[in-house]
Amino acid sequence: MSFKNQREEIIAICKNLLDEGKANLILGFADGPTGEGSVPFFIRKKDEVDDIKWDDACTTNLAKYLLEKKEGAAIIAKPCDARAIVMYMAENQIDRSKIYIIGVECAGMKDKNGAPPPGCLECTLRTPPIFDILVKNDNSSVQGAVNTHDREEEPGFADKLARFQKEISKCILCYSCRQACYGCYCETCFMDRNMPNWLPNELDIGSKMMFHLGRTMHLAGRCVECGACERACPSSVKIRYLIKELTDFCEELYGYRAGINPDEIPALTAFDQNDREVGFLGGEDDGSCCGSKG
Amino acid sequence: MDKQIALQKSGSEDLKMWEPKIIAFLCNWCSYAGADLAGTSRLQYSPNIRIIRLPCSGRINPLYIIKALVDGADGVMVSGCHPGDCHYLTGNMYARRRFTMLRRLLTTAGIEPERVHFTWVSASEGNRFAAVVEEVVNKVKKVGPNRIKEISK
Repeated sequence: MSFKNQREEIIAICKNLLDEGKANLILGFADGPTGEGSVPFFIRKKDEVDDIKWDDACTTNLAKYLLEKKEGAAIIAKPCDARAIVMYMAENQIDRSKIYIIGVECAGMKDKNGAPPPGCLECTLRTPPIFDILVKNDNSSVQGAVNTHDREEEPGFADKLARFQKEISKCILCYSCRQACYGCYCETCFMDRNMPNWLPNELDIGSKMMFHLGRTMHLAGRCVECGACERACPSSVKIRYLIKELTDFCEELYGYRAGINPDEIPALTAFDQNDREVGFLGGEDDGSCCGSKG
Repeated sequence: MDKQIALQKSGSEDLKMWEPKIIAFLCNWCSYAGADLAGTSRLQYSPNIRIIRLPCSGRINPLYIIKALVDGADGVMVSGCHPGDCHYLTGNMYARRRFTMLRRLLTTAGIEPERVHFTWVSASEGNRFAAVVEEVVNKVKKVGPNRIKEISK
């Protein structure tokens, strides 16, 4: 019921924007080709506005489309999408004054089986951190806030490597995760470069490790936890646990979570004199050394 | 027992015969000079490191370390100027944050933390450089050869 109310409000806002000329392109959602699910929808004319879809199938992170259309665009942004927009501002990829953000409160999405998609289960953010106008959600329950990362059951190294290899062996290096991710906007990805050449001539599991470890490092401290990567993967590679570890660690060390506060500088582009040296020789013991510390 | 398989693949049947191959990324102004001082002082230390000289620890792309491990290096050691003493003023400060995150990532992916080490060695610390190398080599010896070789077909 709340989705229906929100949808009506969104339609009214969009019609207003087009009338007043505040935006000439609105990024939203429409029905998928079979009537279920959703697809990104680019609205340019007022009579297209009634085709807007807003319900719990609107999982896509639309923020990345803003990079192509930097001016005169409005976007229907869930909290995770708005976090991505905040990061684009922090990284100087878009000009805040040239886009209009229709923030929409979100209580969680559902995939086609009715289960929460990756990203929604652990999400605690109901309200977008940035918006020009807010469409509230009168549903008081938040789907998320389930901590699926249980620290007490820290697996041993053989298990960690086995888990990593098990997920990586499913990967086919299609780069869907890279295309879907808001943070992967390099004109030429490191995987596609030949100076230097990071990959061997024959792709093997080492290449997959390079890709996933390299991409995770490039997203260290930048991931907005939208789950687009895992949703996009055609091979069901559960890749989010790697970056989630870094996201939590970044918050623990530097008190920074990507995209929450528009005034904050991203953690890995800053430093402090008293940064903790966890795991360094002569620094803090990170307690993860199995075996002797000698 | 996967350690046995890894040993066989690495060409040495006997654990006692295996010598780890450790890649050392050193910053030119402090750590490399410190290593050079260890050399001119004729200090003896384990010959297992292969040194790669960079202008600053901040220049080290985490991908270098990842690639070294994926390509089969048994260990990686990174050393820069002490925080506050960087020749380029702040390079090692950015590097510090990057390395902390990288180490956590590698640990999560199942690569033993004893294989990857970060430290600060200054140009006058020749003795300390030798001691640091010994420490790193001992730690790597304890975890055995890099297992990635056995699964990376």
